[in-house]
Amino acid sequence: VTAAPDGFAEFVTARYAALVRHGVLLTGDHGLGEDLTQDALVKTHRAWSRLHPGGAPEAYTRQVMTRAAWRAGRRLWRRERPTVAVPDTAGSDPYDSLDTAAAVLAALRALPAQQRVVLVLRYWGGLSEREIAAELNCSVGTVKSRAGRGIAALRRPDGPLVALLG
Amino acid sequence: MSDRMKELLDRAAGEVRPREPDPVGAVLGRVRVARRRRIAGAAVAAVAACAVAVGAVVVGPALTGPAPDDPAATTPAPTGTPVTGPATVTVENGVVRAGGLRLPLPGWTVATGDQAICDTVDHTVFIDAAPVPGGPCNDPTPYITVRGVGADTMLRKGPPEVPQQLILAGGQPAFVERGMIGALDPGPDSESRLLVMRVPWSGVSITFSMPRGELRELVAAIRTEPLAPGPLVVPPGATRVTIAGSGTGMSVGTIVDPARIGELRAALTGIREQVPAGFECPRNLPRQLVTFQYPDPGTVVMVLVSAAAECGEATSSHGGRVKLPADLWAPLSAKVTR
Repeated sequence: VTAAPDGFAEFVTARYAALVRHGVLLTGDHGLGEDLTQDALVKTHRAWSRLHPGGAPEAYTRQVMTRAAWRAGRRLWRRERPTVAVPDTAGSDPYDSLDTAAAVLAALRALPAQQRVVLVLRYWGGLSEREIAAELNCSVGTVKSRAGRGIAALRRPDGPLVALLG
Repeated sequence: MSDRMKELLDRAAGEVRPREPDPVGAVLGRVRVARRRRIAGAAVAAVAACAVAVGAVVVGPALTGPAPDDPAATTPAPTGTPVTGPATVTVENGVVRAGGLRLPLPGWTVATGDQAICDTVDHTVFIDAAPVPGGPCNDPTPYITVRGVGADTMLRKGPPEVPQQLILAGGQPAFVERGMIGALDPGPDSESRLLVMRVPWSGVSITFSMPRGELRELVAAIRTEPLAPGPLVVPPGATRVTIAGSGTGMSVGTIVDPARIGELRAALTGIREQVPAGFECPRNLPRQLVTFQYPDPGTVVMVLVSAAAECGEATSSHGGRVKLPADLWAPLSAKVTR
């Protein structure tokens, strides 16, 4: 049986939920997001002697997740799951609050992986275009083009989030 | 724009709940698998290199086999598809697995044979076994029984009344005998309660006997695979369908016409809109029980329907949970039972 190195189990227990949220937004899918999180934590486990104590294991894990999700747009595209339908977002439905979250995830899922990753880092992570380019090891121009296309797709008149984005 | 986008992403992230009850165990399991792959890959490469060197092809099946110290390698993993027969119940790293259901019970004692309740230590989980009543003890010890039971057997032995429904984390349904669901309602945490939960789509029946507070925590900790329920699972070929009324189980209609049965099944299985994970209708909503019976003796599929305008949904004993539009069910049931 594999034993967890000192501090690793505590780190996973404390930060797992937050990392899964990051993973779900990066993929637009709950199952893939949790899968991405666990895969990244395997790499964190491998690098643990360098990350603990005194390192930044969460930042490392998030970067592994982000880069894996970014690469998915290039070589793992077959694992992408296109959205089938976007739920309605009618006002007085008791399911409304959960439907909004589902609609956002469905809209993210419908985007190409690289556009999705850039939008999540830009608007949820609050990173600048330069910081995103450094995180993804790409040019600022690439970040700008992916972000522009992603936003345009979400704001299309027939786009899934046009009503929510206003 | 930026603020609104962030707000929407925050809202989506806020609804996310991890589905893995034991993330440390899950990650360490992946670490073991990755390590085995690396070792096996290196060994295969070394063997292949030797084989090339001597001009022979050597195949080493043991090299790609599971590591002997890995409990995950010796216990079959549950499949993600609904089971129709009895589930094989296993315990691994403190988690009871049965079909697509996982119940984390870290620190519990595992018993695989019947034993007297008074000889049973606190917090024992019986696997395909049960405590035998009787003896000098007055205060029953908290225990759980987990038994693999085929869906058909479970439903045949099920209560004559419309059962009450419990939505497990992730959205799949479980069914509870009427009168027992109150064990999960607010009340004194120390009060001893009994709950019999049937999960036909996973081939397992679980009995909980313990204080109410602990019972609520354990039921909330149950996880399922497939994690998110899809459309209703109702196999074709039913020869008789009964629709029973809310609560009493009194039959309000029986259908034997294959065309009408097919129409009803197609309508139910054709609903694609899923109920969002985490949403549960009030437990006291009136529900109707639609029972599909098949030529194979004893084969039964149960669909539980709530047509209430404020919370319409349908679940199948073979898995699946969907939103039921308020204007679909009433005309459909009236039409097929005319």
